[in-house]
Amino acid sequence: MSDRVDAYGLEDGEQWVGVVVELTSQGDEPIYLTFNDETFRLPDGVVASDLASAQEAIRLDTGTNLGEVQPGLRYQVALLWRTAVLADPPPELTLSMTRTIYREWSIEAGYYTWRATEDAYEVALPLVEPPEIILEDEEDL
Amino acid sequence: MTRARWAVATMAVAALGVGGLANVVDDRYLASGWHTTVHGVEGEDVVGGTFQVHVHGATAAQALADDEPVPSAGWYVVVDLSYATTDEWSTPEEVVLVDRDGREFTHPGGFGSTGAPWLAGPDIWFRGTLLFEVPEDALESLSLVVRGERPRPILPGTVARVPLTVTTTTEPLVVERGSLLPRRER
Repeated sequence: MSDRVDAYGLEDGEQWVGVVVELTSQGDEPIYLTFNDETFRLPDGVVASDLASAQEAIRLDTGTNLGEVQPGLRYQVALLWRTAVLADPPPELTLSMTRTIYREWSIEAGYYTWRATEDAYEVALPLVEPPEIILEDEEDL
Repeated sequence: MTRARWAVATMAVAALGVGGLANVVDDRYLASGWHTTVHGVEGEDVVGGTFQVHVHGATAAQALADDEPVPSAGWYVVVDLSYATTDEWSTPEEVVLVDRDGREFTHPGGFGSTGAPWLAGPDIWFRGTLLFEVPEDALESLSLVVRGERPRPILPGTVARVPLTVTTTTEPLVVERGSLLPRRER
């Protein structure tokens, strides 16, 4: 939890709630998280946005936006959501992960979208300090 | 069997053959973008579709030069190249690296337009560097593929492909923006 993350979009009373994940593209082509990605979810009511997907994804090695995930590379990434209800954050939070697959459109060959499957996993994550690299410098605040 | 029956049987086999061939064409080309690949080599011009490309070389390192070196999840690859178009001013829609397993690597993102493709004109050449990020096991088998237009399911297209000799270095890599070349220079 932090309001010091180096990313835009917080409104009054909001903070960023983040989850650190390791990502690898095992396919042949770069992939990217989209605004309607169904892979990662926080519990209902936590996210202060119409979109349930993460609003930001920041690499922990470079501190830059994740961009396209290149095949075969392993990334440490902070997924970030805006929240207004975790002023007093709980000691742990449950992250849901749904297996998604890249499905070709039935109406047009060559076009794909990520779609959720029935496989889902939940993991309880303890509250920890945010990684320093995603925070704004103190003097910039 | 009489000659007429043979003729009918042959026509039936031919019809099956044509039908089968049409399916093969469908499967191999229409669904994946029917495109022609023009193969080039480093140090020479190659024309693929509406782009003329000249690859000078490629270098890989585990960091990019900045105020503080920027680390990689694998290796950064910088490709030094020049290109121009054959007709009108344009930026290639897609430039990727491809390895021997067919894996494709794009501009890593998060660096703005640094190391991304630039605009070039008809026989008006610009030279700069393109930035990629790849795993170590891809370094030995990379080719640059320039898609002036991204292959589409129905439209035919032409792409240029140039195998790269990648030199590794311990020095952080520097990315150069595309800049105009004097006439006839590459």
